[in-house]
Amino acid sequence: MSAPALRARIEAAGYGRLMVLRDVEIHVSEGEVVALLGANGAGKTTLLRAISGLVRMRGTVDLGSASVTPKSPERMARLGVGHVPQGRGTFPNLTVHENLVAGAAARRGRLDLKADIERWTTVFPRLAERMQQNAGQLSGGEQQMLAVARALMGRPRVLLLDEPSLGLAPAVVHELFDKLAELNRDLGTAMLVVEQNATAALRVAHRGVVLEAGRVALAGAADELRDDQRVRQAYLGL
Amino acid sequence: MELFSQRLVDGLSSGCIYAALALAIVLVFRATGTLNLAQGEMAMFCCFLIWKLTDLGWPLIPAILAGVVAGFVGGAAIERVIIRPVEDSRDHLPVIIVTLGLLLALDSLAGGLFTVDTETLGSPFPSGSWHIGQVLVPYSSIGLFVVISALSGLMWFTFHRTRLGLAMRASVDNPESARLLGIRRSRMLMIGWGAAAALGALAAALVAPQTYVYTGMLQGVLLYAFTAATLGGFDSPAGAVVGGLLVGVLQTMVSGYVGFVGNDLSLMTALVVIIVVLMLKPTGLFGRPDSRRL
Ligand SMILES: Nc1ncnc2c1ncn2[C@@H]1O[C@H](COP(=O)(O)OP(=O)(O)O)[C@@H](O)[C@H]1O
Ligand SMILES: [Mg+2]
Repeated sequence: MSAPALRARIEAAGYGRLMVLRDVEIHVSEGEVVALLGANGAGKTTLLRAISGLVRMRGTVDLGSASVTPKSPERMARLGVGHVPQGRGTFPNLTVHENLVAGAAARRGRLDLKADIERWTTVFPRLAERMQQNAGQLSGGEQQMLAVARALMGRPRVLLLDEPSLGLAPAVVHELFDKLAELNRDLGTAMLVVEQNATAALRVAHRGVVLEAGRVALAGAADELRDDQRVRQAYLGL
Repeated sequence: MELFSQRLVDGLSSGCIYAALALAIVLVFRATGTLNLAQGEMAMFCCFLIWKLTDLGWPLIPAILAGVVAGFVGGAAIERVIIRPVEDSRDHLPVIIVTLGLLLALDSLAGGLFTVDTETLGSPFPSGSWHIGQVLVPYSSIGLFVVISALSGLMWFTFHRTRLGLAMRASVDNPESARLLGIRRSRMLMIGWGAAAALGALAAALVAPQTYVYTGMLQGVLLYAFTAATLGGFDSPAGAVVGGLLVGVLQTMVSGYVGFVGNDLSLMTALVVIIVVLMLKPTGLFGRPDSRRL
Protein backbone atom coordinates (compact mmCIF):
# COMPACT_ATOMS: atom_id res chain seq x y z
CA MET A 1 0.00 0.00 0.00
CA SER A 2 1.26 3.49 -0.83
CA ALA A 3 2.07 6.04 1.86
CA PRO A 4 -0.95 8.04 3.00
CA ALA A 5 -1.37 11.58 1.68
CA LEU A 6 -1.29 12.80 5.26
CA ARG A 7 -0.41 11.22 8.55
CA ALA A 8 -0.33 13.28 11.74
CA ARG A 9 0.94 11.97 15.04
CA ILE A 10 0.27 14.62 17.64
CA GLU A 11 1.68 13.96 21.09
CA ALA A 12 0.42 17.28 22.37
CA ALA A 13 -0.95 20.52 20.97
CA GLY A 14 -2.57 23.54 22.56
CA TYR A 15 -2.45 27.17 23.50
CA GLY A 16 0.19 28.26 25.98
CA ARG A 17 -0.23 25.96 28.97
CA LEU A 18 -3.64 24.71 27.89
CA MET A 19 -3.18 21.31 26.22
CA VAL A 20 -6.09 20.63 23.91
CA LEU A 21 -4.93 17.50 22.06
CA ARG A 22 -3.17 14.50 23.56
CA ASP A 23 -1.87 11.50 21.61
CA VAL A 24 -4.00 11.96 18.56
CA GLU A 25 -3.14 10.03 15.44
CA ILE A 26 -4.97 10.51 12.20
CA HIS A 27 -4.27 9.69 8.57
CA VAL A 28 -5.85 10.34 5.20
CA SER A 29 -5.00 7.95 2.36
CA GLU A 30 -4.49 9.12 -1.20
CA GLY A 31 -7.86 9.87 -2.75
CA GLU A 32 -9.70 9.49 0.53
CA VAL A 33 -12.18 11.79 2.27
CA VAL A 34 -12.12 11.59 6.06
CA ALA A 35 -14.75 13.31 8.20
CA LEU A 36 -13.49 14.63 11.54
CA LEU A 37 -16.49 14.85 13.86
CA GLY A 38 -17.07 15.84 17.44
CA ALA A 39 -18.86 18.26 19.71
CA ASN A 40 -18.09 21.95 19.95
CA GLY A 41 -14.77 22.42 21.76
CA ALA A 42 -13.56 18.86 21.14
CA GLY A 43 -10.41 20.17 19.46
CA LYS A 44 -11.18 19.72 15.76
CA THR A 45 -10.05 23.19 14.73
CA THR A 46 -6.99 22.86 16.92
CA LEU A 47 -6.09 19.62 15.15
CA LEU A 48 -6.24 21.23 11.70
CA ARG A 49 -4.34 24.27 12.90
CA ALA A 50 -1.63 22.09 14.42
CA ILE A 51 -1.18 20.30 11.09
CA SER A 52 -0.91 23.67 9.33
CA GLY A 53 1.62 25.07 11.75
CA LEU A 54 -0.70 27.71 13.22
CA VAL A 55 -0.83 26.04 16.64
CA ARG A 56 2.26 24.78 18.38
CA MET A 57 2.44 21.02 18.66
CA ARG A 58 4.75 18.19 19.63
CA GLY A 59 4.82 15.30 17.18
CA THR A 60 5.21 14.78 13.45
CA VAL A 61 3.27 15.31 10.28
CA ASP A 62 4.07 13.14 7.25
CA LEU A 63 3.16 14.35 3.80
CA GLY A 64 4.12 11.82 1.20
CA SER A 65 7.84 11.33 1.82
CA ALA A 66 8.35 14.47 3.93
CA SER A 67 8.15 14.19 7.70
CA VAL A 68 8.14 17.40 9.72
CA THR A 69 7.08 19.04 12.92
CA PRO A 70 4.97 21.94 11.64
CA LYS A 71 6.42 25.30 12.63
CA SER A 72 5.03 27.78 10.14
CA PRO A 73 1.95 27.75 7.91
CA GLU A 74 4.01 29.17 5.03
CA ARG A 75 6.18 26.07 5.08
CA MET A 76 3.27 23.65 5.39
CA ALA A 77 1.54 25.31 2.44
CA ARG A 78 4.67 24.66 0.38
CA LEU A 79 4.67 21.02 1.48
CA GLY A 80 1.19 20.63 0.03
CA VAL A 81 -1.27 21.37 2.83
CA GLY A 82 -4.30 23.32 1.65
CA HIS A 83 -6.32 24.72 4.55
CA VAL A 84 -9.77 26.28 4.24
CA PRO A 85 -10.13 27.84 7.69
CA GLN A 86 -13.23 27.98 9.84
CA GLY A 87 -15.17 31.10 8.80
CA ARG A 88 -13.83 30.82 5.21
CA GLY A 89 -11.02 33.38 5.52
CA THR A 90 -11.40 34.97 2.11
CA PHE A 91 -9.74 38.31 1.36
CA PRO A 92 -12.77 40.63 1.53
CA ASN A 93 -11.13 43.62 -0.17
CA LEU A 94 -9.60 41.62 -3.00
CA THR A 95 -11.63 40.65 -6.05
CA VAL A 96 -12.66 37.03 -6.60
CA HIS A 97 -10.04 36.83 -9.34
CA GLU A 98 -7.32 38.22 -7.04
CA ASN A 99 -8.33 35.79 -4.30
CA LEU A 100 -7.83 32.92 -6.74
CA VAL A 101 -4.45 34.22 -7.95
CA ALA A 102 -3.31 34.62 -4.34
CA GLY A 103 -4.17 30.95 -3.86
CA ALA A 104 -1.22 30.04 -6.07
CA ALA A 105 1.24 32.08 -3.99
CA ALA A 106 3.19 29.04 -2.81
CA ARG A 107 3.79 27.72 -6.31
CA ARG A 108 7.09 28.52 -7.98
CA GLY A 109 8.16 29.43 -11.48
CA ARG A 110 6.12 30.51 -14.48
CA LEU A 111 2.54 29.53 -13.89
CA ASP A 112 -0.36 29.16 -16.24
CA LEU A 113 -2.88 30.52 -13.76
CA LYS A 114 -5.49 31.12 -16.45
CA ALA A 115 -5.94 27.40 -16.99
CA ASP A 116 -6.26 26.75 -13.25
CA ILE A 117 -8.71 29.58 -12.75
CA GLU A 118 -10.82 28.38 -15.63
CA ARG A 119 -10.82 24.89 -14.23
CA TRP A 120 -12.12 25.91 -10.80
CA THR A 121 -14.62 28.39 -12.14
CA THR A 122 -16.02 25.57 -14.25
CA VAL A 123 -16.51 23.59 -11.07
CA PHE A 124 -17.94 26.65 -9.29
CA PRO A 125 -19.74 28.58 -12.05
CA ARG A 126 -21.15 31.10 -9.58
CA LEU A 127 -17.61 32.43 -9.07
CA ALA A 128 -17.13 32.96 -12.79
CA GLU A 129 -19.92 35.53 -12.82
CA ARG A 130 -18.35 37.50 -9.99
CA MET A 131 -14.67 37.57 -10.92
CA GLN A 132 -14.28 41.36 -10.59
CA GLN A 133 -16.38 41.75 -7.45
CA ASN A 134 -14.77 42.06 -4.05
CA ALA A 135 -14.99 38.80 -2.15
CA GLY A 136 -16.56 40.61 0.80
CA GLN A 137 -19.67 41.20 -1.27
CA LEU A 138 -20.34 37.53 -1.98
CA SER A 139 -22.92 35.48 -0.12
CA GLY A 140 -21.75 33.03 2.55
CA GLY A 141 -22.07 30.05 0.23
CA GLU A 142 -20.20 31.78 -2.57
CA GLN A 143 -17.42 32.78 -0.17
CA GLN A 144 -17.10 29.18 0.98
CA MET A 145 -16.79 28.02 -2.62
CA LEU A 146 -14.24 30.75 -3.26
CA ALA A 147 -12.25 29.61 -0.23
CA VAL A 148 -12.21 26.03 -1.56
CA ALA A 149 -11.29 27.10 -5.09
CA ARG A 150 -8.58 29.37 -3.71
CA ALA A 151 -7.05 26.51 -1.74
CA LEU A 152 -7.15 24.29 -4.85
CA MET A 153 -5.19 26.94 -6.79
CA GLY A 154 -2.22 25.89 -4.67
CA ARG A 155 -2.53 22.29 -5.97
CA PRO A 156 -2.50 20.83 -2.46
CA ARG A 157 -1.62 17.24 -1.72
CA VAL A 158 -4.28 17.22 0.97
CA LEU A 159 -7.13 19.64 1.59
CA LEU A 160 -8.17 20.49 5.15
CA LEU A 161 -11.66 21.96 5.46
CA ASP A 162 -12.88 23.43 8.74
CA GLU A 163 -16.66 23.40 9.09
CA PRO A 164 -17.46 24.39 5.51
CA SER A 165 -21.21 24.15 6.26
CA LEU A 166 -21.10 26.75 9.03
CA GLY A 167 -23.77 29.40 8.57
CA LEU A 168 -25.00 28.07 5.24
CA ALA A 169 -28.59 27.21 4.32
CA PRO A 170 -29.28 23.44 4.02
CA ALA A 171 -29.64 23.58 0.23
CA VAL A 172 -26.29 25.36 -0.07
CA VAL A 173 -24.65 22.83 2.25
CA HIS A 174 -25.96 20.07 0.00
CA GLU A 175 -24.59 21.75 -3.11
CA LEU A 176 -21.21 22.37 -1.49
CA PHE A 177 -20.76 18.77 -0.35
CA ASP A 178 -21.78 17.55 -3.81
CA LYS A 179 -18.98 19.69 -5.22
CA LEU A 180 -16.50 18.30 -2.71
CA ALA A 181 -17.50 14.74 -3.60
CA GLU A 182 -17.15 15.61 -7.30
CA LEU A 183 -13.68 17.10 -6.76
CA ASN A 184 -12.60 14.02 -4.85
CA ARG A 185 -13.97 11.68 -7.47
CA ASP A 186 -12.57 13.50 -10.49
CA LEU A 187 -9.21 14.64 -9.15
CA GLY A 188 -8.60 12.24 -6.32
CA THR A 189 -7.88 15.11 -3.93
CA ALA A 190 -7.45 13.78 -0.39
CA MET A 191 -9.58 15.67 2.13
CA LEU A 192 -9.92 15.97 5.88
CA VAL A 193 -13.27 17.60 6.57
CA VAL A 194 -14.16 18.91 10.02
CA GLU A 195 -17.90 19.03 10.55
CA GLN A 196 -20.56 19.45 13.18
CA ASN A 197 -23.05 18.58 10.49
CA ALA A 198 -22.29 14.85 10.66
CA THR A 199 -25.01 13.85 8.22
CA ALA A 200 -23.64 16.06 5.48
CA ALA A 201 -20.05 15.01 6.09
CA LEU A 202 -20.66 11.26 6.33
CA ARG A 203 -22.62 11.38 3.09
CA VAL A 204 -19.42 12.12 1.15
CA ALA A 205 -16.71 10.73 3.44
CA HIS A 206 -15.14 7.28 3.20
CA ARG A 207 -14.17 7.18 6.85
CA GLY A 208 -15.06 9.08 9.97
CA VAL A 209 -13.08 9.93 13.10
CA VAL A 210 -14.82 11.19 16.23
CA LEU A 211 -12.87 13.47 18.52
CA GLU A 212 -13.89 13.83 22.14
CA ALA A 213 -12.14 16.13 24.60
CA GLY A 214 -8.92 16.12 22.63
CA ARG A 215 -8.70 12.38 21.98
CA VAL A 216 -9.88 10.04 19.26
CA ALA A 217 -12.98 8.40 20.73
CA LEU A 218 -14.01 6.38 17.73
CA ALA A 219 -13.04 5.75 14.13
CA GLY A 220 -14.51 3.67 11.34
CA ALA A 221 -16.00 3.46 7.89
CA ALA A 222 -18.46 6.24 7.16
CA ASP A 223 -21.45 3.98 6.58
CA GLU A 224 -20.80 2.02 9.77
CA LEU A 225 -20.70 5.20 11.82
CA ARG A 226 -23.81 6.43 10.11
CA ASP A 227 -25.77 3.26 10.85
CA ASP A 228 -24.52 2.51 14.37
CA GLN A 229 -27.41 3.45 16.66
CA ARG A 230 -25.16 3.86 19.70
CA VAL A 231 -22.76 6.13 17.84
CA ARG A 232 -25.58 8.21 16.46
CA GLN A 233 -26.91 8.97 19.90
CA ALA A 234 -23.68 9.36 21.83
CA TYR A 235 -21.55 11.27 19.36
CA LEU A 236 -23.47 12.55 16.43
CA GLY A 237 -26.59 13.87 18.06
CA LEU A 238 -28.76 12.34 15.37
CA MET B 1 -5.38 87.35 -11.76
CA GLU B 2 -1.61 87.13 -12.03
CA LEU B 3 -1.27 87.03 -8.29
CA PHE B 4 -3.86 84.29 -8.17
CA SER B 5 -2.06 82.27 -10.86
CA GLN B 6 1.25 82.66 -9.07
CA ARG B 7 -0.32 81.58 -5.81
CA LEU B 8 -1.83 78.60 -7.57
CA VAL B 9 1.59 77.59 -8.89
CA ASP B 10 3.20 78.14 -5.50
CA GLY B 11 0.47 76.06 -3.91
CA LEU B 12 0.96 73.25 -6.39
CA SER B 13 4.72 73.40 -5.77
CA SER B 14 4.42 72.91 -2.06
CA GLY B 15 1.65 70.42 -2.77
CA CYS B 16 4.18 68.28 -4.62
CA ILE B 17 6.27 68.17 -1.47
CA TYR B 18 3.32 67.01 0.63
CA ALA B 19 2.35 64.50 -2.03
CA ALA B 20 5.84 62.99 -2.06
CA LEU B 21 5.67 62.16 1.63
CA ALA B 22 2.00 61.21 1.46
CA LEU B 23 2.98 58.53 -1.05
CA ALA B 24 5.33 56.99 1.51
CA ILE B 25 2.56 57.04 4.11
CA VAL B 26 0.17 55.32 1.70
CA LEU B 27 2.84 52.77 0.83
CA VAL B 28 3.35 51.71 4.43
CA PHE B 29 -0.39 51.63 5.00
CA ARG B 30 -1.05 49.46 1.96
CA ALA B 31 1.84 47.13 2.63
CA THR B 32 1.51 46.70 6.39
CA GLY B 33 -1.94 47.99 7.36
CA THR B 34 -0.53 50.41 9.90
CA LEU B 35 0.78 53.95 10.15
CA ASN B 36 4.36 54.97 10.65
CA LEU B 37 4.54 58.20 12.62
CA ALA B 38 8.33 58.18 12.20
CA GLN B 39 8.03 58.30 8.42
CA GLY B 40 9.28 61.88 8.28
CA GLU B 41 12.14 61.30 10.70
CA MET B 42 13.32 58.23 8.81
CA ALA B 43 13.32 60.29 5.63
CA MET B 44 15.11 63.14 7.37
CA PHE B 45 17.75 60.72 8.63
CA CYS B 46 18.38 59.42 5.12
CA CYS B 47 18.51 62.97 3.85
CA PHE B 48 21.26 63.75 6.34
CA LEU B 49 23.12 60.71 5.05
CA ILE B 50 22.79 62.01 1.50
CA TRP B 51 23.99 65.44 2.60
CA LYS B 52 26.94 63.83 4.41
CA LEU B 53 27.95 61.95 1.27
CA THR B 54 27.84 65.11 -0.84
CA ASP B 55 29.80 66.82 1.91
CA LEU B 56 32.42 64.09 1.51
CA GLY B 57 32.62 64.89 -2.18
CA TRP B 58 30.09 62.49 -3.76
CA PRO B 59 28.14 63.84 -6.74
CA LEU B 60 24.47 64.48 -5.91
CA ILE B 61 22.74 61.72 -7.92
CA PRO B 62 24.91 58.83 -6.64
CA ALA B 63 24.51 60.23 -3.13
CA ILE B 64 20.72 60.22 -3.49
CA LEU B 65 20.76 56.67 -4.83
CA ALA B 66 22.93 55.56 -1.93
CA GLY B 67 20.52 57.27 0.46
CA VAL B 68 17.57 55.49 -1.11
CA VAL B 69 19.31 52.11 -0.82
CA ALA B 70 20.26 52.90 2.77
CA GLY B 71 16.63 53.83 3.35
CA PHE B 72 15.45 50.45 2.10
CA VAL B 73 17.94 48.52 4.19
CA GLY B 74 17.33 50.69 7.26
CA GLY B 75 13.54 50.49 6.90
CA ALA B 76 13.63 46.72 6.56
CA ALA B 77 16.01 46.46 9.54
CA ILE B 78 13.78 48.69 11.68
CA GLU B 79 10.80 46.47 10.87
CA ARG B 80 12.73 43.32 11.69
CA VAL B 81 14.29 44.53 14.94
CA ILE B 82 11.97 47.15 16.43
CA ILE B 83 8.52 46.66 14.91
CA ARG B 84 8.36 42.84 14.66
CA PRO B 85 8.34 42.20 18.40
CA VAL B 86 5.20 44.32 18.86
CA GLU B 87 3.60 43.34 15.54
CA ASP B 88 0.07 42.07 16.06
CA SER B 89 -2.25 41.72 13.11
CA ARG B 90 -5.31 42.45 15.25
CA ASP B 91 -4.09 45.45 17.23
CA HIS B 92 -2.14 48.21 15.50
CA LEU B 93 -1.81 50.51 18.48
CA PRO B 94 1.46 49.04 19.86
CA VAL B 95 3.14 49.48 16.48
CA ILE B 96 1.96 53.06 16.18
CA ILE B 97 3.24 53.84 19.68
CA VAL B 98 6.61 52.29 18.88
CA THR B 99 6.89 54.41 15.74
CA LEU B 100 6.29 57.42 17.95
CA GLY B 101 9.28 56.36 20.07
CA LEU B 102 11.27 55.82 16.92
CA LEU B 103 10.46 59.37 15.86
CA LEU B 104 11.98 60.80 19.04
CA ALA B 105 14.99 58.49 18.91
CA LEU B 106 15.85 59.29 15.30
CA ASP B 107 15.47 62.97 16.00
CA SER B 108 18.15 63.03 18.67
CA LEU B 109 20.29 60.43 16.90
CA ALA B 110 20.44 62.56 13.76
CA GLY B 111 21.40 65.59 15.81
CA GLY B 112 24.17 63.67 17.55
CA LEU B 113 25.43 61.76 14.54
CA PHE B 114 25.34 64.51 11.93
CA THR B 115 24.77 68.05 13.07
CA VAL B 116 22.18 70.22 14.77
CA ASP B 117 22.90 72.97 12.25
CA THR B 118 20.91 73.70 9.13
CA GLU B 119 22.61 72.48 5.97
CA THR B 120 21.85 72.89 2.29
CA LEU B 121 21.47 70.24 -0.37
CA GLY B 122 21.58 70.93 -4.10
CA SER B 123 18.73 70.11 -6.44
CA PRO B 124 18.97 67.40 -9.09
CA PHE B 125 16.70 69.55 -11.25
CA PRO B 126 17.90 72.56 -13.27
CA SER B 127 17.54 75.89 -11.48
CA GLY B 128 15.47 78.69 -12.89
CA SER B 129 11.85 78.91 -13.85
CA TRP B 130 9.56 78.59 -16.75
CA HIS B 131 7.91 81.95 -17.46
CA ILE B 132 4.27 81.89 -18.41
CA GLY B 133 3.48 85.58 -18.79
CA GLN B 134 4.35 86.99 -15.38
CA VAL B 135 3.89 83.68 -13.62
CA LEU B 136 7.01 81.75 -12.65
CA VAL B 137 6.94 77.97 -12.56
CA PRO B 138 10.17 76.65 -11.02
CA TYR B 139 11.77 73.81 -12.97
CA SER B 140 12.34 72.03 -9.69
CA SER B 141 8.59 71.91 -9.07
CA ILE B 142 7.95 70.52 -12.53
CA GLY B 143 10.66 67.92 -11.95
CA LEU B 144 9.20 66.99 -8.57
CA PHE B 145 5.74 66.67 -10.06
CA VAL B 146 7.00 64.37 -12.81
CA VAL B 147 8.83 62.19 -10.30
CA ILE B 148 5.93 61.82 -7.87
CA SER B 149 3.47 61.12 -10.68
CA ALA B 150 5.76 58.38 -11.95
CA LEU B 151 6.19 56.97 -8.43
CA SER B 152 2.46 57.02 -7.87
CA GLY B 153 1.91 55.11 -11.11
CA LEU B 154 4.64 52.64 -10.22
CA MET B 155 3.09 52.05 -6.82
CA TRP B 156 -0.34 51.45 -8.30
CA PHE B 157 1.15 49.07 -10.83
CA THR B 158 3.06 47.14 -8.18
CA PHE B 159 0.05 46.75 -5.90
CA HIS B 160 -2.45 45.85 -8.60
CA ARG B 161 -0.49 44.17 -11.38
CA THR B 162 2.30 42.17 -9.75
CA ARG B 163 2.30 39.02 -7.62
CA LEU B 164 4.36 40.78 -4.95
CA GLY B 165 1.78 43.56 -4.67
CA LEU B 166 -1.08 41.09 -4.52
CA ALA B 167 0.71 39.14 -1.80
CA MET B 168 1.15 42.36 0.18
CA ARG B 169 -2.50 43.33 -0.09
CA ALA B 170 -3.65 39.81 0.76
CA SER B 171 -1.35 39.80 3.74
CA VAL B 172 -2.92 43.01 5.07
CA ASP B 173 -6.49 41.95 4.28
CA ASN B 174 -6.34 38.63 6.13
CA PRO B 175 -2.92 37.85 7.60
CA GLU B 176 -3.72 34.32 8.69
CA SER B 177 -5.28 33.24 5.40
CA ALA B 178 -2.32 34.71 3.55
CA ARG B 179 0.06 32.62 5.61
CA LEU B 180 -2.03 29.49 5.00
CA LEU B 181 -1.55 30.06 1.28
CA GLY B 182 2.20 30.25 1.72
CA ILE B 183 2.58 34.04 1.59
CA ARG B 184 5.48 34.96 3.86
CA ARG B 185 3.87 37.73 5.84
CA SER B 186 7.02 38.71 7.69
CA ARG B 187 8.83 39.15 4.40
CA MET B 188 5.98 41.29 3.06
CA LEU B 189 6.19 43.55 6.11
CA MET B 190 9.94 43.93 5.74
CA ILE B 191 9.70 44.77 2.06
CA GLY B 192 6.85 47.21 2.76
CA TRP B 193 8.82 49.08 5.40
CA GLY B 194 11.96 49.05 3.29
CA ALA B 195 10.20 50.36 0.20
CA ALA B 196 8.40 53.08 2.15
CA ALA B 197 11.65 54.22 3.76
CA ALA B 198 13.37 54.26 0.37
CA LEU B 199 10.53 56.33 -1.05
CA GLY B 200 10.73 58.65 1.95
CA ALA B 201 14.47 59.09 1.43
CA LEU B 202 13.93 60.05 -2.19
CA ALA B 203 11.11 62.41 -1.27
CA ALA B 204 13.25 64.10 1.38
CA ALA B 205 16.19 64.53 -0.98
CA LEU B 206 13.96 66.11 -3.61
CA VAL B 207 12.33 68.56 -1.24
CA ALA B 208 15.52 69.36 0.71
CA PRO B 209 16.57 72.22 -1.61
CA GLN B 210 13.44 74.07 -0.43
CA THR B 211 13.21 72.92 3.18
CA TYR B 212 16.97 72.78 3.88
CA VAL B 213 18.44 69.89 5.81
CA TYR B 214 17.91 69.93 9.57
CA THR B 215 16.37 67.57 12.10
CA GLY B 216 12.99 69.25 11.93
CA MET B 217 12.98 69.61 8.15
CA LEU B 218 9.91 67.44 7.60
CA GLN B 219 7.97 67.99 10.79
CA GLY B 220 5.61 70.56 9.33
CA VAL B 221 5.57 68.80 5.99
CA LEU B 222 4.57 65.50 7.56
CA LEU B 223 1.42 66.98 9.05
CA TYR B 224 0.35 68.26 5.66
CA ALA B 225 1.32 64.93 4.13
CA PHE B 226 -0.98 63.13 6.57
CA THR B 227 -3.70 65.62 5.66
CA ALA B 228 -3.05 64.85 2.00
CA ALA B 229 -3.20 61.09 2.56
CA THR B 230 -6.43 61.48 4.54
CA LEU B 231 -7.91 63.67 1.86
CA GLY B 232 -6.95 61.27 -0.92
CA GLY B 233 -7.92 58.15 0.97
CA PHE B 234 -5.22 56.25 2.78
CA ASP B 235 -5.03 53.41 0.30
CA SER B 236 -4.75 55.31 -2.97
CA PRO B 237 -1.42 56.43 -4.52
CA ALA B 238 -3.24 58.70 -6.98
CA GLY B 239 -5.27 60.05 -4.07
CA ALA B 240 -2.06 60.91 -2.24
CA VAL B 241 -0.85 63.02 -5.16
CA VAL B 242 -4.16 64.79 -5.72
CA GLY B 243 -4.60 65.21 -1.96
CA GLY B 244 -1.11 66.71 -1.68
CA LEU B 245 -1.73 69.21 -4.45
CA LEU B 246 -5.12 70.20 -2.99
CA VAL B 247 -3.64 70.74 0.46
CA GLY B 248 -0.81 72.81 -1.02
CA VAL B 249 -3.16 75.03 -2.99
CA LEU B 250 -5.60 75.34 -0.10
CA GLN B 251 -2.84 76.34 2.28
CA THR B 252 -1.40 78.97 -0.07
CA MET B 253 -4.78 80.42 -0.94
CA VAL B 254 -6.01 80.57 2.62
CA SER B 255 -2.88 82.21 3.97
CA GLY B 256 -2.77 84.51 0.96
CA TYR B 257 -6.36 85.67 0.85
CA VAL B 258 -7.76 85.22 4.30
CA GLY B 259 -5.93 87.99 6.12
CA PHE B 260 -6.05 86.80 9.69
CA VAL B 261 -4.95 83.24 8.95
CA GLY B 262 -1.39 83.99 7.85
CA ASN B 263 1.28 81.34 8.02
CA ASP B 264 0.86 80.40 11.63
CA LEU B 265 -2.73 79.37 11.40
CA SER B 266 -2.37 77.37 8.19
CA LEU B 267 -1.80 74.21 10.24
CA MET B 268 -5.27 74.84 11.63
CA THR B 269 -6.59 74.88 8.08
CA ALA B 270 -5.08 71.45 7.56
CA LEU B 271 -6.81 70.17 10.66
CA VAL B 272 -10.14 71.64 9.61
CA VAL B 273 -9.77 70.01 6.19
CA ILE B 274 -9.13 66.60 7.77
CA ILE B 275 -12.18 66.90 9.98
CA VAL B 276 -14.49 68.08 7.21
CA VAL B 277 -13.35 65.36 4.78
CA LEU B 278 -13.71 62.62 7.35
CA MET B 279 -17.19 63.84 8.17
CA LEU B 280 -18.33 63.97 4.56
CA LYS B 281 -16.47 60.99 3.14
CA PRO B 282 -14.76 58.79 5.72
CA THR B 283 -12.77 56.89 3.08
CA GLY B 284 -11.24 60.05 1.56
CA LEU B 285 -11.74 61.23 -2.00
CA PHE B 286 -10.17 58.21 -3.69
CA GLY B 287 -10.32 55.61 -0.93
CA ARG B 288 -12.46 52.54 -1.32
CA PRO B 289 -14.74 51.42 1.47
CA ASP B 290 -13.83 48.23 3.28
CA SER B 291 -15.76 45.36 1.72
CA ARG B 292 -15.77 43.34 4.92
CA ARG B 293 -19.28 42.40 5.92
CA LEU B 294 -19.93 43.18 9.53
N1 LIG C 1 -6.92 30.70 20.60
C1 LIG C 1 -7.22 29.93 21.67
N2 LIG C 1 -6.65 30.18 22.86
C2 LIG C 1 -6.93 29.42 23.93
N3 LIG C 1 -7.78 28.38 23.91
C3 LIG C 1 -8.38 28.06 22.76
C4 LIG C 1 -8.13 28.82 21.56
N4 LIG C 1 -8.85 28.28 20.57
C5 LIG C 1 -9.53 27.23 21.11
N5 LIG C 1 -9.23 27.10 22.41
C6 LIG C 1 -9.76 26.05 23.29
O1 LIG C 1 -9.39 24.79 22.78
C7 LIG C 1 -10.44 23.88 22.89
C8 LIG C 1 -10.74 23.25 21.55
O2 LIG C 1 -11.19 24.26 20.66
P1 LIG C 1 -11.38 24.01 19.11
O3 LIG C 1 -10.21 23.30 18.58
O4 LIG C 1 -11.73 25.31 18.50
O5 LIG C 1 -12.66 23.04 19.11
P2 LIG C 1 -13.65 22.66 17.94
O6 LIG C 1 -13.11 23.18 16.66
O7 LIG C 1 -13.73 21.18 17.99
O8 LIG C 1 -14.97 23.28 18.27
C9 LIG C 1 -11.62 24.60 23.50
O9 LIG C 1 -11.66 24.31 24.88
C10 LIG C 1 -11.28 26.05 23.27
O10 LIG C 1 -11.80 26.84 24.33
MG1 LIG D 1 -13.89 24.55 15.28
